[in-house]
This record gives sequence, structure tokens and C-alpha cells, in this order.
Amino acid sequence: MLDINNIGVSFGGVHALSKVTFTMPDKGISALIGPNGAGKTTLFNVITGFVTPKEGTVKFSGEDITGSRSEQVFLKGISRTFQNLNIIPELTLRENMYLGFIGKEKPSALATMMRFNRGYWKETTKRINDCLDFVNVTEYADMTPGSVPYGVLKNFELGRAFMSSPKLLLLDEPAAGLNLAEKENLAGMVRKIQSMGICILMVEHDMQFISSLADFVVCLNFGQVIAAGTYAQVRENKDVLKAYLGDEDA
Amino acid sequence: MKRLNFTFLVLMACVLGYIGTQVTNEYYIGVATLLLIHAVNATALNILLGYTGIISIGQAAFFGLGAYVAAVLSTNYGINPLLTMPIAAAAAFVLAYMVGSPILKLHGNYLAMATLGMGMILYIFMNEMDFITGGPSGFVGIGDIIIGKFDLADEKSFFVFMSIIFMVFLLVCELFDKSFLHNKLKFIKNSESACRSYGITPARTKVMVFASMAALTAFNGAIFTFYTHFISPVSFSFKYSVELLAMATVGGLGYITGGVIGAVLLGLVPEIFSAFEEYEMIIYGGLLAVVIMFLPGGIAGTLKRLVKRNA
Repeated sequence: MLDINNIGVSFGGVHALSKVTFTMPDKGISALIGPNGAGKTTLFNVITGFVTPKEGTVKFSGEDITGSRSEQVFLKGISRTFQNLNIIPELTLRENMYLGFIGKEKPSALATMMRFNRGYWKETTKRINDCLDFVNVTEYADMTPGSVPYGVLKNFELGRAFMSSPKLLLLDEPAAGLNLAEKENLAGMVRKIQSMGICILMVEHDMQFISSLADFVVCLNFGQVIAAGTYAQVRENKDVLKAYLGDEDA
Repeated sequence: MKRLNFTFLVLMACVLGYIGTQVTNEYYIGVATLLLIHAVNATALNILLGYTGIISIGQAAFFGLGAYVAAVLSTNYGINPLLTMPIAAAAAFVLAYMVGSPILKLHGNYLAMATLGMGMILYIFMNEMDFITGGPSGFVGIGDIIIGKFDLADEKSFFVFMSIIFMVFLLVCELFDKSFLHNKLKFIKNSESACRSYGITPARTKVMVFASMAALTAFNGAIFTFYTHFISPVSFSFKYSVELLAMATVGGLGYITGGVIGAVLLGLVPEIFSAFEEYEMIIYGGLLAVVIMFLPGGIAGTLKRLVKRNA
């Protein structure tokens, strides 16, 4: 599904990513882990076209998407969420959901303004309601984000990305800031999305969350891949233990 | 799909109908016509700044461009005034598209400075190209709009014409406000990176909005030309751009009603405080400061919150 081949990114003299190479399986949930500053989000930005690597290639379903603009990457079937919630404060959650599909479906502005395509919007409203229901935020749908709990907003972001019908969904720290019950609820939704045939790659720090979900794990440290495999394999890797716990000799 | 704000539309139609049928004093009718012209400009700026997040301190220049294009074409080349209006709008659209493509890559203060610069350049052209514009002395001899057998030479008939244009404009704005376009522009205003990751190209949309609002303002400028029959660069200076900014902000950024409320309120300031003409900008500044500090969302935003709270 996703081939990352020899990716290198530098910001000035800082090597954020260096020779990063791995192949993500065609199915299931994969996770990208590593200490702070390891380059996880930078790699997400490379995949989604926000950062152009100085070397290497990114292939999605066999197609080279290196250097493609974010809009093009999205249209090829890759959606993402961000570490910081990108929910517009002055719009209700239902209105915020529009972002999930208008970029792909591009409904006619004139026809919509003149209300000629009522059928399309009726059908879309149903899809929005279904999606809000899917991520358990229906009761908050007509509220603005300021009056909605953080956990609900995280679910909403996942739902909005799902609304865009992606082939690959990138989740940047989906469980950050959630309590145990909210994490379990989120994990259930992630599994449900995956069972619909959508591939998921997530950046996450919560190892319990990852262990319960991920089939394939890649660990980055200082911009380099130090381990890749199943969660159990990566957990036992000495370099990974050193990256997280420090060097015994130090 | 959201329901249109029919209360606002009907209220505006009633007010305009009352002025058109009951007010006989030509001075007051003239003031009302100018308020409608300001309201269209302030609403266009509101769509730019309040919805899309594009700060423009050069709107007066587009207003002036439309006014001069219409004046020159109708007076020097004998083109029907009604035809000059879309031509003026098209000219402003092309110019704004060309200027907007590079400058809309800027944000915040830098964008404000760039639009200010564009406005200043156009203002200098209006002053210096006196062989076309008449220079600082102004452009005289502009004719009337004639529709069939109706010559819009008197205050009342022009007010009726402007009222019809204004109501059509308001209806289109309401349709825009209640469509997904409103949300799309607010997504762009709040997070361009989120938009890009969802397949929206903010740069293209921003340039289109900037050019469309420039065209609308220029169209309005052409109407202004045939109302005043005399134009000079002073009417299209930096000061007018700031006045429009104040109108949109005081009225309420991000609300269609905001531009209208701000234009009526601040448009009346020179009339009410005519004895203190030199202090006009201080009054504007004071109002602006009060609104920014105590009424976030402007008057329209505050009214909406009050209605919601009491609902």
C-alpha cells in the first residue's frame, strides 16, 4: 500500500529524517512510534505532501507521490488528522463535517447557492448524520467546538477523515489527551474503520493503545528507522529499549 | 441547507420601501442612497476579511477603478452606462486576479501592506493620469443612467434603482451565507493546511474571492459614478478603505448583516457629527476600539448571541 524508500529531510543543518525505508502492509493497522523529535510527524508531512523530501520516494499503491501537493495526495485516497485539532470554532460540528467531502466531491457553487441540487444535499446530510452517529457525536452535532468535550472532538476528527472515504488514513496521535474510557471507545472505532477495508497508519505514544491495535510497528529515533515488525518484535528490540529508556552505560 | 434570513431581507425591503414612498426630502434620500453604496462595499470587504481572512486595505482603489472605467467609457466613448458597469467589474476582476495571485500568498500584516500598496499605486494613477481621469480636479460631465424611458436623474428614481440592486445583492449574499461556500471560506480562514489535506486549494479559492469582490466593488463604483456625476481621486483614497474596514468590523465580521449595520452606523457619523468634521476619524477609531474590546463579533455578532441566549 505505502512504500517509503530512502526518505531524507533536512531543516537547515538538522537531519529530521535520514534514509527512512519501510513498506506498510496492504491491510490492517500500522503504527509509527518513537521518542519526541524522532521525525514521526515529519514523515506524515512527507507522505501527505506538506514537506518535500530532499531524497527518496514515497509510493502509494505503486504510484510515486513524492513531492505531490497535499490536495493531490488527498485526491489519491490519503486522509489525515493533525496533532492539534483543526476544527473551526465558529461553526457547528455538523458544518465542520463539510470539510471532509467538499474537496473531493466539489459540489457546484452556483447550483448550491441557487438551491438547484437539493437532492445532493439531502443525500449528503444523511451521510453526515450517519458519520456523526458512527463516531458517537450526534448529540453534539449542532454545538460549536468550544462547548464540546475534548474526547468528543477527537472522535469527530476521526469521523471527518473517515467521511472523505480514504484508502489510507493517517492518524497523528489520536489518543493524546484522552482518558481510558475514551481511548477504548476510540480503539473500537479505529478497528471498525479498518474492518471496512481502510488501511490505517498512526503516530502514537500510548504503547497500550498501539499494542491493542497495531499489526505492524515502525520505530523511529533521530530520524532513522531503528526497528520494524510486529509490536512484540519491536518491543523486544534493544535499540528501541535504548531509545525509550536510555543507555545503561550512560 | 440552512434557511435564509428572511426576517433581515423583509426588514430591509420594508425600510427601503418606506424611504422610497414616504420620505420626500431629497437630502435624506441622497444620504440613504450613499448608505446603500457603502453597505455593498462594506459587505464585499466583510466577505473578504470576515469569511476568508483576506485583509484588504485597497478596496477603495477597486471602487475608484470601477468609477473611472464607467465614467471614461460612457462620457468619452458614448457607451451606454448600463453596459459600462459589467465592463468595469470585468476590468477590476482581471486586475485583482493578476495582483491577487502573488500577494495572496502573504498573510496578516504583510498582506495588509501589500493591498495598501496596491491601493496607493492606483490612487497615484488616478491623480497623475489626468489626460484620462482629469487628475485631482476630477472627472466631470458624467451622464445619467437611462433605462427605457426612465432617466435616473433625480434622487428618488436613483434611490429606487439602487434599492433594487441592493436587494438583489443582499439576496445573493444570503444565498452564499447559507450555502457550503460560507463554510469553505471559513475553513480557509482558519486553517489552510487542514484545507489542503482535505483537497481544497486555498490559493485558488482566495484569488477567486478577492477578484470577485473587487469586481463587485467596481460594479458599485460604476453606479456611484452615475449617481454623483462627478468623481475625483479623493473619494477613493486610503481613508475610504479604512472607513470600509471600520464599517465591516463594527458591524460584525463574518455576518452578512454586519456590513449593512456597520455601513449604516458609520455612514451616518458624518451626517450626525457634521459640526465636528475634522474629528471624524477619531470617532471612527473610538467606535472601532470599543467594538474590538467589548463586542467581539461586532454588533451583528453581539445581537446574534443575545437572540440565541434568549431563545
